[in-house]
Order: sequence, then structure tokens, then C-alpha cells
Amino acid sequence: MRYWHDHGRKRWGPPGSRLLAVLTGVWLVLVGVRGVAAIPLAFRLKPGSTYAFEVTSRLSSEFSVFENRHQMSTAATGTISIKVLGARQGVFIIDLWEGENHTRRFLKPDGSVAGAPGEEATRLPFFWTLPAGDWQPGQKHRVTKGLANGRETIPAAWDLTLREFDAASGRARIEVAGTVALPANKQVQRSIEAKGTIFFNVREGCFDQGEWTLTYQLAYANKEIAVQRDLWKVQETRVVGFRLKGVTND
Amino acid sequence: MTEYRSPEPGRFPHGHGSDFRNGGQGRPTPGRAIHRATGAHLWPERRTQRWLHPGNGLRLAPIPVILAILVLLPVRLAAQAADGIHTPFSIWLMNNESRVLGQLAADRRLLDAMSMGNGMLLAPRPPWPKPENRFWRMHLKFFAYLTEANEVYRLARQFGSGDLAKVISSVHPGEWATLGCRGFPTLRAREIAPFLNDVCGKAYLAVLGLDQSRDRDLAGRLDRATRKLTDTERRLLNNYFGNFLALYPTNRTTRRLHAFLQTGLSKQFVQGVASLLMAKPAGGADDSGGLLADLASTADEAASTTVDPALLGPDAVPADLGTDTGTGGGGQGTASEAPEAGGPQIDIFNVLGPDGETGTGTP
Repeated sequence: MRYWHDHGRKRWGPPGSRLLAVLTGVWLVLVGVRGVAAIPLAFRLKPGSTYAFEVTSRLSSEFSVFENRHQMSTAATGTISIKVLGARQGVFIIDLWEGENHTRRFLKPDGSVAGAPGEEATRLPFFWTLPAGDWQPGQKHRVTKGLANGRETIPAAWDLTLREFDAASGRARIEVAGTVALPANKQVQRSIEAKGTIFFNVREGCFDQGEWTLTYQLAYANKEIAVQRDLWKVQETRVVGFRLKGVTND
Repeated sequence: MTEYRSPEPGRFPHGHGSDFRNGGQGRPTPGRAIHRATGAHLWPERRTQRWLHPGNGLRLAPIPVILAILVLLPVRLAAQAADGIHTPFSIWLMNNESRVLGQLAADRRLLDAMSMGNGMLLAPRPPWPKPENRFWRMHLKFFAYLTEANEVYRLARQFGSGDLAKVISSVHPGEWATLGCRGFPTLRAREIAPFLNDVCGKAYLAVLGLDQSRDRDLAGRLDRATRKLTDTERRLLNNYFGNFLALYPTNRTTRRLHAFLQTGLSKQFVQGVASLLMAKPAGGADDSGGLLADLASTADEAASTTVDPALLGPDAVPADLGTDTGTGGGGQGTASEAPEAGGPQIDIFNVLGPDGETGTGTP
């Protein structure tokens, strides 16, 4: 075997081969990671199946005036069953039942709602959507929407970041962060923020678990010329979670 | 022969056939005949047109202002009369409530929109806790308290001087109404007169918005209203007043209300209103009473006529006066009520003097 001497040290291969080997290795790692971790996420519901979810919510609200504070909280748990009626032109037709409450939605594979005949369009929640194509870990996917608020429209955004994908369980962990750009001035300062984690199950073709916390703050003051006086403060927290209990084919 | 022609454009730039609305640029006024030789109009302008001349504008300018003042001033005065010293503060608090209520309602809708991102699921809809409702209830108590305080303040200010009590004590509507029946004993005019005095007195107080049982002790009324608030609520109200007066330091009405709530009523005003409620129309030895006494002394009916118990019974008086009008003599106040502040009650028809038999039943 040939070897070269370089300043008394022994090394294998011709000069520059070590750098080449390192570059090749890095390239192979990058390509390999991309090939393994990059995943396309999309809703793939099974027509005829019924998905049962447990939805929980814990609400806490505090109103304070000067040194007086009053706090109230409540919690509720409900079960929602979703019957997938069919899939037409790439859109899933689902029936949602929560006790006797019923509504119907047309769900696109990216998670957006194409139609909700039983609900007022302006009162529909701001839904997450999944990015088209492969989603790299650490990559942020932003969804924006203008929320109707009286006569004005408030811009809101969901930021979804894929943190990891567990190939064994087929679940992708996604971090969500929501912001609502509420207008504020010196007299009225308010903010809405959301933060949490959700899981997308590739095998079931839907989100199967999630929990996020919504925080709302309002500080109301009076201002007259140069005098400003604080009056009321409101702080509310909503913790919302859901979990897929099971899928049946009855 | 007199010639007539149309006015030449531009000849009389200001008036005299030109239209000032066109800047006096010579546009003739239609239908105005002008003498060819002198250039004068053959008939004078109508009065209304002279009024519309731009030179007269300054003289007419105050008229709309005066009209507006004449129309708006009574409206403003009426509005001020309807308001109380609590109005600015109450409106300020209610306005703030309304703003926050609207803000919270709108923001909670946004929260609802962010409460469920999964399009497969429904947003949770548990009964949303509203801790602010506790404070809105407190504010309702404040409004009731301030309305009560304003009413006490108004009564004290209006009737606290005691002048009206003196006036009521010096009038005798019952005697005047039964004056024509004095010569006929069967009509029992002297027995009916005290009832009429009492009825008129109470009706007058009712018209004034005074209630004897409620307003006899104004300080107590204010105290009762204040005691409905807890210490926490009183502190909160005080803080609200502090905020309001810091924001609007020149609002003297609210400053007066705040001082009034802190210091309460002075004894003099309380006694003034109490004297008004205790005043008896049949009392007082004033000039009209003397006149009536002179007239009554000529009557045939004896002053010693006793009161028929049937007339003093509960059935003999209007139902709205209550049963106490039949007791204590002649429908007057009962002995358990506060002493009268209208001075000693003198029966002006008792010509026999205080030692004789009383005929009117006045205590």
C-alpha cells in the first residue's frame, strides 16, 4: 500500500483526498437526512369511518379594578365523533356530531375547510393548514387569515413548525404559535397569543393529539389631555386539547 | 316719449340691474325696466331683494344665531333640569362599561376563532366565565346609590331652607273652599275644612315628589343608601371618583357630589325638609288667617260644634290618605310622628279662644 509522508506524519491516499472524503460524507448525510426526514403531510381520511375525539378545555378569566380582583375558571370535556361520508374531487365530506349539535364540513387534504353549510362563514375558526409537498424538520409554515371583527378585519397568523417525525409511530410533532395583530393605543392595550404542540398521525391521516394555550390580555385606561388613569384589566387563558380516541368502521 | 330698454351688461356692476350673485359682472336682473336716459330703474327693487344685498349681510347675521339660542337654550335648560349632580360621573362610568363590554365581546369572538385550529373538530363551547359581571353588579349598586344621593341632595337643596314649610303653614285651602257653606250648619263646613286642608297638603307634597315616611329624615335616607354598600364597594367607588376627578378636575358637579357623599347632610337642611313634611296648612296666624277669622266670626254656626265621628272614620277620607288621617283628630298626623315645625296650631275659627271647645279637631 502506498503512503505519503507529510511533515513526518503518515496519511493514507493522495493529497486532498481527505477533504474530498469529508465533503462527500457531508453531502451523503444531507441527502440521507433529507431523504429520511422530509415528509409530505396531508389528510387521508377513510370514507365510511368514524373518528372519535375527546376535546377538553380549561378556561380561566380574571378581572381586576385597582386592588380588587375577581377570578373565575371552568373546565369542560366533550366527545366529538366525525363520520367521513365520502371523498369527492379530493375533498372529504365529514359530519361532525357533538351530542345533538351537528354540522357538516368539506375538508381539503391540507386541512382547510372548503365549505361549512351549517355554520356562518364569519364565525368559522381559523384552521391550520399543512404545507404542500415535503416538510423539512425545523421549517416553519405560516398560515394567515383576516378575522372579521365588526367592521374591521384583524390579521391573524398560525405558525406551524415541524419538530420531528417518528417513523415508528408515524407521528409528526408540530409546534404551533398563533398571533392576532390587535390594534392597540395608549388607552386600550390588548393582545392574543397562542402556543402549543400538536401531532399529525400519518397512518390515520389526521391530527390525533394536540394542546395549546390561548392568552388574552386587555388593559383599559382613560386619558384626558395629559392625564392617564388605569381603570380595568382583563386576563384570560384558554387551554384547549384534543385526543383521537379511536377510529371505527361501523 | 319715454323709452325703455334692457339694461346693458356691465353698466351697473353693483346692483341696479346687475345680479350680485354673479359678482356684479353686469348680468341683468330679468324683468327690470331701466330708463334709457337716466339709467334708473322705473320701479324700486323689492324689499326682499334689498335685504339680500351683500351689504346687508352683516346686519342679518345675528338672526340665525339668536334663533338658535332661543331654540336651543330651553332645550339645554330642560336637559340640565332633568340631570342631577350624579349625571356626569354616571355617564362616564356607563360609557367606560359600554366600551369594555364591546371590546370584550369582539375580542372573545377572536379568541373563539383561535380556539380550534383542527378543521375536523368543533371549537369547545363551555359556558365562558365572566368575572367582570361581578363588577357590573357593583356598578348597578353605585348607580342606585348615586341616584338616591342625588335625590336627597335635590330635596335638601330645594326644600331645606324651610321657606316652603312656612308657606304651607300659612295657607288654608280647606277654609277657603268651604267658606260659602259657613252659614249652613247642616253642611258641616267647619268639620270638612280640616280634611280638605290635609288632603290639599298631602297632594301638594305628592306633587313635589315628597314622601313623609321616606323623606322625614333625609340624613337617615342617605345613611340607609350608604349602608347598602360594603366597605370594598365604597373604596372602589371612591377610587372611581378619584380617577374621574383626576381626569376632569374642572367638573364641579361631580366634585360637589363627592364632597356631599363624604360629608353628608348638614342638620339644618334635614330639619328644613322635615319641617316641610310636618307643616300643617291649617296652622299659623298670618294675615289670611285673620281674614278668615273675621269672616268666620260672622257665621251663625257655633264654634263649639263637635266633630262627627263618622266624618273622622276611615271610610270618610280618600283611600290614598291611609287610616292615620282619621286618627289624631281631623285627618292630621298622628301623635307618634315628629313634632310639627310649623309653630303652634291655632284654630282660627275657634272664636271662643283656646279655653273653649275645639271644633276643628286640630291637635
